[in-house]
Amino acid sequence: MEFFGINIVAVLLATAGFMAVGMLWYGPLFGNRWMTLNGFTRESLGEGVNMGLVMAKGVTNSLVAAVGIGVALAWNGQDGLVDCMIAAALVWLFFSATTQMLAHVWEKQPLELTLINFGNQLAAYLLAGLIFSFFR
Amino acid sequence: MPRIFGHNLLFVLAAFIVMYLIGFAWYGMIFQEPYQAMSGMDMETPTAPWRMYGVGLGIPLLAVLGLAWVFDKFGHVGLMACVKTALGVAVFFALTTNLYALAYDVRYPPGLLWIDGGHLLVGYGVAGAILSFGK
Repeated sequence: MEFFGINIVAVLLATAGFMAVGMLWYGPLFGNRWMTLNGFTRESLGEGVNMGLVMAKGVTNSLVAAVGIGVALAWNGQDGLVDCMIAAALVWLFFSATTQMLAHVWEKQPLELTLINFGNQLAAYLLAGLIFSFFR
Repeated sequence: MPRIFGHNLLFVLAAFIVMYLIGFAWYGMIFQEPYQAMSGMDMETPTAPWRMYGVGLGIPLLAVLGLAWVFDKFGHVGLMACVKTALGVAVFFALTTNLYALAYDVRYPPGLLWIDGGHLLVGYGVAGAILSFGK
């Protein structure tokens, strides 16, 4: 089951991986710190929020990123676990980290918050690289 | 002239400078007022010089190096192929990173997405176009 040279099952697994890493990262691992740094409380996060819509946006976003990683690895001709994970890490560094860094530099986002976001995205990209490596 | 990821250094530097200037014009001139209003930026505290000229310059440099790496790996040659790939990279990786704020940050105003997203698409597209001439 391939679409533009990328395995659809791998894309779905990588999308689930993005969501799982995010839930773990902003839940038990760094959830409390993330809320404090953002000035959120559990109440303010829940106020008037349609959780279905939030999840739908998160899944769509993760799906697009997973497709992108799949395309990058397929076109790059990456083969094997290490190659795929290195390529995924480079894609994160060049494009995702640089975008996230804009908030730290220009909007004065606290460095600790930027680093928490960095960690989430890097872990998710590496996991996606790992997943795609098994479908090559 | 030295080459980086198969691209002439002069074109890599030109793409980097233009990408930086696009950000400067985008947020500092064209959309300055709505951006400041929507982002709720603290304009009282000046940005530290090391941030503005150190890390701030490093961001477009890394992004341009990344584009050169992608074009080299994909074997892309020609203006349209490079611009299309650069826009794809912007959507798949830069824009999705930005969109997490829209999805999970309850304070992120949707209007800000158009400013941030426009900046990313224009910046990546123009940098891709410049790099295409340096292959």
